[in-house]
Amino acid sequence: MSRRIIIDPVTRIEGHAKISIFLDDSGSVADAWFHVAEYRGFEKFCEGRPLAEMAGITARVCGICPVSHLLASVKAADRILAVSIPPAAVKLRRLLNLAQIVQSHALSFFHLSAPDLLLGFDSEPTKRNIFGLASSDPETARGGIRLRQFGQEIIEALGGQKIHPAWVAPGGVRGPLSAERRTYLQGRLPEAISTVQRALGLMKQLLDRYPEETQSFGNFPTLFLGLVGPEGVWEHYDGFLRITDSTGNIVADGLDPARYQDFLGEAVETWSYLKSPYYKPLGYPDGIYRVGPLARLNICSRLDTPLADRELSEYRQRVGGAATSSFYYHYARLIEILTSLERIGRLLDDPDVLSLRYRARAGINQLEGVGCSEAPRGTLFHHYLVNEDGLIQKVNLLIATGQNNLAMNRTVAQIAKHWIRGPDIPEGVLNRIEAGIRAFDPCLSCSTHALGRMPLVIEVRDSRGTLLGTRRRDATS
Amino acid sequence: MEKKTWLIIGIGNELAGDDALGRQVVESLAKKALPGVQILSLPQLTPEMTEHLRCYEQVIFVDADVSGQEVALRPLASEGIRQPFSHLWSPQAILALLEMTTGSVPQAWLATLPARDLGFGKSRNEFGAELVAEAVRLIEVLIESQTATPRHLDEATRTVGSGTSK
Repeated sequence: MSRRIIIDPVTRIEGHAKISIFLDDSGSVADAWFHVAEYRGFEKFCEGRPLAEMAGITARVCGICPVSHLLASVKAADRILAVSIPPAAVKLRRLLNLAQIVQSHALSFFHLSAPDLLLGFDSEPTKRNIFGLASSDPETARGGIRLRQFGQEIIEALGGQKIHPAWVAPGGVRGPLSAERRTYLQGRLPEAISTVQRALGLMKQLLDRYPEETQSFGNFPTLFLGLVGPEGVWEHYDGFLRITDSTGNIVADGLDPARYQDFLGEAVETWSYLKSPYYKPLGYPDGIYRVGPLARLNICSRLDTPLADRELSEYRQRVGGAATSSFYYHYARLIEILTSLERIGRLLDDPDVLSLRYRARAGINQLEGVGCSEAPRGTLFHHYLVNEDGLIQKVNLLIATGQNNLAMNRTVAQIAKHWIRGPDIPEGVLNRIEAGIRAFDPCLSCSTHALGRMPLVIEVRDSRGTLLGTRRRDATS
Repeated sequence: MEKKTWLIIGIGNELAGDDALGRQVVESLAKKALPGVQILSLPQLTPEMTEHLRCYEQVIFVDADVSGQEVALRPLASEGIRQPFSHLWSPQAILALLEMTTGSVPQAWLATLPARDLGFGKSRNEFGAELVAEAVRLIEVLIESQTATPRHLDEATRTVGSGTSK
């Protein structure tokens, strides 16, 4: 008799989703789906709005990564204005994006995933949260809080507020960094670097503690996609797209993000509001690819900052070249925080961040524009078509979490097949299935919002939909 | 670290009707420029707030309360809070997290104002100004009492009727 297991909602992720696991007649996992269950419709209701409003509107897609949407949006608008923005504006935007990567990665690692990693996947669920972490390792918990705070302080110093700063604009930014704020941020940088270096030390110990999870959490070959700069250096704001395979070979390089529709397709499944992008030359679903920290470290030649490059070298030795296990997202995320902090230090030392030449102004000069940047979770595309008056005619948002959709589904299936044995499913196994999703740090706020006090419910049903059993736990983790 | 004296945090969404009452209170207090008092006006509390709180000796949270019937001001403790990560951090949870990560917490109070309508838009509460004024008065009495005699503290932390019933 076939059965279906539902995990609804998935906890400690940004947004709302559920997981369905289908068992065959023998009780083995036949398939698994990761559903994004809510619809928001930004692409539709933006139609008719003025181009100048798009950054402000699309930033509201999310409260965690509004900066990413701001940057992709204004880059699309730059194209439509056909402007080359001032060098100071590029540096200030880069500083903003690096701060966003720091604060978002810190949230993912220290607040959402560290409870699993440091307390154990089978630890008491009521303690498997930031309070449990603070109780067992207050230094790590507080370090994570302060690290995220540092990223947010940079965003606030530039944009006036931590969330939804209306500071990035088509053609540049709305103001420079103040000298006073720069001095303050420079003073906080050493502590932030020390925090992430300590976390990296912990992470390396954890790899030895979780060999089975490393092997079963989304460990399969896919393509990897992201931006790279000159000589293939790690990039987060500009550059060209590179695609590599799971052995590290470059499949495609120097791809213009503005032509993404030539090589990326967007499939739609009936059971999720999240799109399923794929690499067109390999078709659907064989064109599965991953984006985000894991992909960015796989595709780049180097990070181009000394401390992080040393970590990258060790990382590649540990993972054996190109990382194929999604468990390594956590490790990659910490290395990205480190290189981001080093780059922040460079930018803070650059006099251009105080420059008063920070914005180019122009009217509508083209009717189409694509903006692309690296959000913390992966490559983000904003694609706008406007009319002669600058009113939006069409919008397409290709979001990082969507590009990981196929891989997240396969990860859920792999973990379920590895860990589920028989009808009794321990809580720790359910947590591993959720943790497999958390490794990607999905931001489902891009299609929904609000993470509240939600229960975890598993229903076991036979093939006719008859409820065979229910397991519930309160969302205390 | 030399600690500052008072931090008053107004919490609420300015586009969710009465939810903004707490922020209106701290905006009124900001205009008074009380000596030794720092004001923060926030849409919500986040874990990073612990790093602000540890710099102060006393903190007052000001928030709207849908279950409240009157303006109230009461001492706040951190005990027994084990809230999972979410977008909804209570003042007690923030204090608990601060205590666990630093080993100490400031003396804390919670001022609440009764909320009726949390619908989209500005607050249309006809008693809003009265509620805000009452909360401001209670907070001023509390601050004054902390630098005066214990008797004033009792007065400051009592619950005060607001006359908001229709």
